[in-house]
Amino acid sequence: MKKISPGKKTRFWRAFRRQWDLQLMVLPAIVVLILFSYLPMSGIIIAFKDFTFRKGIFGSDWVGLKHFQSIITDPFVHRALYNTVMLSLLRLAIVFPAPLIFALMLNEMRFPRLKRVYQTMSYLPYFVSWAIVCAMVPVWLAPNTGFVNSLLQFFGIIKEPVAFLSEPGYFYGLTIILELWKSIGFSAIIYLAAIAGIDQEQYEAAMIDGASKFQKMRYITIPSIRGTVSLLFILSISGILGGNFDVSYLLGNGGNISRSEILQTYNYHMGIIQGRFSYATMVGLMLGVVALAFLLIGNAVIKKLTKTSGLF
Amino acid sequence: MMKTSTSRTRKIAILLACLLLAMAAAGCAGESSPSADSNVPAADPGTDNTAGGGGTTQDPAPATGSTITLSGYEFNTEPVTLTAVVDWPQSFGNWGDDSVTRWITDTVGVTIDITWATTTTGEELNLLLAGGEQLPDFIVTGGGGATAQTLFREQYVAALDELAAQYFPGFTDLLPDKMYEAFQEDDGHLYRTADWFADYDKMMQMRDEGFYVTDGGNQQFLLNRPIYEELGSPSVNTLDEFRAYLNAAKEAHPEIGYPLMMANVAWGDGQDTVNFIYRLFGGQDWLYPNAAGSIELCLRDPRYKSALQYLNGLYNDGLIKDDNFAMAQETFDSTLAGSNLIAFSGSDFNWFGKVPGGETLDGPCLPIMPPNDVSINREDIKLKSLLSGVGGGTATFISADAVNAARAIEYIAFRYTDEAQTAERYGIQGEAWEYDTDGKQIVWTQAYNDIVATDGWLEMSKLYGCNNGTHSWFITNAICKLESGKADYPVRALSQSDAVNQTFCQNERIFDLTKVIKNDDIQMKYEQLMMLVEESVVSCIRAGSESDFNAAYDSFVSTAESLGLADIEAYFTESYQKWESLGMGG
Amino acid sequence: MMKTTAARRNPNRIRQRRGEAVFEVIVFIVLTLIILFLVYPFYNCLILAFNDGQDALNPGIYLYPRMFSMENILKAVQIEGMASAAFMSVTRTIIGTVLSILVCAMFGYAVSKPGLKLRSLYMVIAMIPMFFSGGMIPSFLNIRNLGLYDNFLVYILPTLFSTFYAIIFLATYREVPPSLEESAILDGANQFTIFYRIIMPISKPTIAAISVFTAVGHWNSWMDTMLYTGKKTINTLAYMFSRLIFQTQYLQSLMESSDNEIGMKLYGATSTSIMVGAMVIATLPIAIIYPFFQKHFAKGVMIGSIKG
Repeated sequence: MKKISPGKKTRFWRAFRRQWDLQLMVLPAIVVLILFSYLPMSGIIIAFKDFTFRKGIFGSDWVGLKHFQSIITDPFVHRALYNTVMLSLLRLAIVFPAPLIFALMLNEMRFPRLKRVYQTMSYLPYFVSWAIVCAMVPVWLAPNTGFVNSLLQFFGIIKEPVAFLSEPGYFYGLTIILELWKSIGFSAIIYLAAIAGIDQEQYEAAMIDGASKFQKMRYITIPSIRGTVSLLFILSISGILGGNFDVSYLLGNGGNISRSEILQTYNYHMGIIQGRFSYATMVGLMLGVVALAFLLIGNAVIKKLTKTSGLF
Repeated sequence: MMKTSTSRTRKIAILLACLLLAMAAAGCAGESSPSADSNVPAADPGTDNTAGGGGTTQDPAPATGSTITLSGYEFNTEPVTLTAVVDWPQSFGNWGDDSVTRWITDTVGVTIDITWATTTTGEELNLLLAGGEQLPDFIVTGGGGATAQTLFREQYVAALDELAAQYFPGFTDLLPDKMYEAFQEDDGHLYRTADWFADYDKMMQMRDEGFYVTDGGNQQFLLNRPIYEELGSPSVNTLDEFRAYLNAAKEAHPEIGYPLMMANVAWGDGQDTVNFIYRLFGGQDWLYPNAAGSIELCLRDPRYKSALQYLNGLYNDGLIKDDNFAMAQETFDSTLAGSNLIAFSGSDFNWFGKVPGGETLDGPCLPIMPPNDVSINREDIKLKSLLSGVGGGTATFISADAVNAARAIEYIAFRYTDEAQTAERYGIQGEAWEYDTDGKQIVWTQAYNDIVATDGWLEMSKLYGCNNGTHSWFITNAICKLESGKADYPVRALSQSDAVNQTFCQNERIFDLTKVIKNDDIQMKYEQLMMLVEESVVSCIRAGSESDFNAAYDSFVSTAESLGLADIEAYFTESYQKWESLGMGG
Repeated sequence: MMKTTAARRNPNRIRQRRGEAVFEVIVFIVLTLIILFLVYPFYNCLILAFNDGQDALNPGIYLYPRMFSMENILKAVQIEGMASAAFMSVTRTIIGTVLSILVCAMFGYAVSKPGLKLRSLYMVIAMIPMFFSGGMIPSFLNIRNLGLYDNFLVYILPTLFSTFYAIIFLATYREVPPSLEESAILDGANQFTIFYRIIMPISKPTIAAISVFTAVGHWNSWMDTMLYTGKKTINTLAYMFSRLIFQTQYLQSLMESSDNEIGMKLYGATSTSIMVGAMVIATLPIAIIYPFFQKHFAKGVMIGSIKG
């Protein structure tokens, strides 16, 4: 008994061929993905092997879940995981909304030329690489010679210089501030682009009706970019186990390590540097699975909450 | 819209045009450095390599007429280019820029084409191995690192003793005494050479001949001289006196930023202050044999606890600052440069080298005899010394299918001759140094001193080649100490008492060997332990009260035990006994 | 006149206007403070770059270079091969960005159409690599096997597609009303024409934004040079500067090591100063070009070919 009628299949192909131009548009991306993302993905199997250079990826011995077990039972992993999650939550709560607020404020600014200047300047920190930022941070935060401590003491906020980098307690705040500094302009651009795309007629109509600034913002601007906001939100969720490797790696030290060690740096220390590529790959695999899970959950949540179509 | 995109395109076009013009003006744009591509096997193996490829020839290739005799052995002088890959960034000049590399090329015909890494984390070397291409003649990487283990275990490298037997038997004689035993692998072969390996007997012999023998940087306590003299140069011979002095000086000079500045608090290194103070309480090293002959790590030793308590006391007196545990390099440098401290603990030249006038005898840094605990006889202090240290920070390997294996092994042997060692450390006679009136010891020339004074030591090294990283990281050996007592930093010997250190140095050697780990599981536990140590030491020192301290310390010990301290100690014990049986101890 | 009418109709309007004025002032102040916070460290680096290295070890440099010196910049620029590296960086940034935008935008556009066959499959294919990757060694072997080692194309091809940016395009295009297309389709245009003539101009702000991100990515990218080239002919500026920084840091660490006698003075340039000099040169060009792109963020561009 034929379940699939030949008709369905032919219909599919006919429709497919009719869309030849759209399908062609998708093609370059797919080719690139296959060549550069999927081909090397076969290397993930080394997570289940004891990889050695000589035997190569396919020749190395199979060890199944040995690395998985050693990761789970490792006491330092739990702490690294805790830090990673805490930082990600803080990031979602602070670093995510900040550019939106910033963009809205910038949008409301009166002087258009100054507004452009501000927009340009806000984006400047994004150009600087983390390596340089993290090299400068100890200089800026140095207790006796850095300008941060000098400023805080000058304004009487603190009496004695504070060693920000040696205390675990400051590390979360430090990372968040640094990320804000670096990325607020970056994300704001996306929001500003979205705002720029809003139909001007709506604003004109609102003005005729006597709407105030706040009302315009509340009833036109924000709803219009709701799609963009939820989109970026979903994409950020998928980074929940991402963490900021550069900051933790470059600013981590004996004093603050109880807070600065995240999964990525731990993986780097134990895995890559020691040549334990199988171990490192297994950590990456585990992280990927969990991140994917979070993405799917987040997407479903957003769909329910905002009645937008989410990502899928 | 069309207009804007055209103007944008125009802008880009103008930019490109300008760049092209600039390039053309700059001349040789696009021309890379003249050195040959080191990943390609030497294009014509026949021409330069007198031993030919393969390695099946029986006799060492007869030199086509030209040899030179150094330290009693004959070396080939045919020009040859050997290739090398080094696991860290280039920091000096290129081969041929300085006098010593030129001398090497002139003397034995060797030029080394080096591929330097970009980072210190080893990605490029790992990829080179993974990629399966022909490896260069030399592979230079950190001796204790994972890559070194990989090289040997996966047979990427040749056995040096076998190469020596086949091509240059002189290698075995020229190799510093005991290096073979210290670095042979379990299969009995030697795969790597080590740098900074002290031939203890030779050094003692030279000392007996009247040479000034010292090691590479003393762990010292140094005082800020003006402040010390201002306070009447009080006695600081015991730990209690030292603490009292620091407090008094701090009161007299509240503007000083760091009363006690520690170079490093991380465990295990030569600059480790905690380790140093532990020794001043009578400890030996962070591992030591207990009464039963098994190895224990120091953290359960009551003397180690005392050391931590002492530092904790200093911290609560306000003598140690918080950011000492996580100091940026610049802050460290500027603190020392400005003498913004009362006392310093660490490697002496860290301070000497930064402060104006530091190297003079009456300069601002005053070395003192390390203040010991009153219960310890000064003669019993066991200070770490490099004299017999196993060093081995850098490992040089010859790859298994090296194209120029014969010349490579010969080159290493050449580097161990007295002539090459002298050149490596001191440069060329007449240019950088001259013999003293006794005809044995050396003094620096005026030109040398002038360059160092005006442009700095680094520039001198790039010119004269002394300890120049382009060539010296291969084979640096601590056997040669030809300096007279007038050499720089004569103050160093202050803390070393010969009778004590003679025996103890040999203990250092066996400790260094025992510390080497070749087992993956133990390696992992050890690293976790190191991470624990790093934070626990800090939290112990920073404890606010005695109960906090005890809590921190107890937690330190119990966590260490749960991490597998016993396993690590058992592993070390086995290792220690093996080295003892090989006669590496004191 | 309209406004006055409204004001008469709504007596609260005056209060509103005053409230708005206050709001604007607050916004202005807050924004200015934020900008200062964002820009000052950058400015601090700039003046440190022009300050003598030894002198910079001492604190107190806040608003202008205390001891002016071009040495850091000069040291950074005099490296051999700088000109060709600059050329390489510019070329790769321009070509890479343009092509990348095309690929990502086309994908985003096509997938934004609900009627696209195999649409979910494409989405899944695009999303999975965001979470999983083979790692350094498999990627390296892959590049080698594809013949891209030491090849200029290794800068362009692997990064042609980014799921993140493609999704942003997708979101933008989803908002586009279908009416725009319909008249073009009736005229017999295929999707490529529609894309080029209608869709791309509409999404100019997004394109401009993503262009900047992609360009910066290309400009700053150095690890691919390190891993995938022999580093002799196709160096990039970013790589040369990273290498300079690592070399200086390494030398600095040698000076601190206790196991050798090389703890001696450096004159003039120190590690931070060189780094900062390199940073200034490396980021200044793109920071200067960026404002030109900003023009395209201007409000709403609509090709009025359809009456609303």
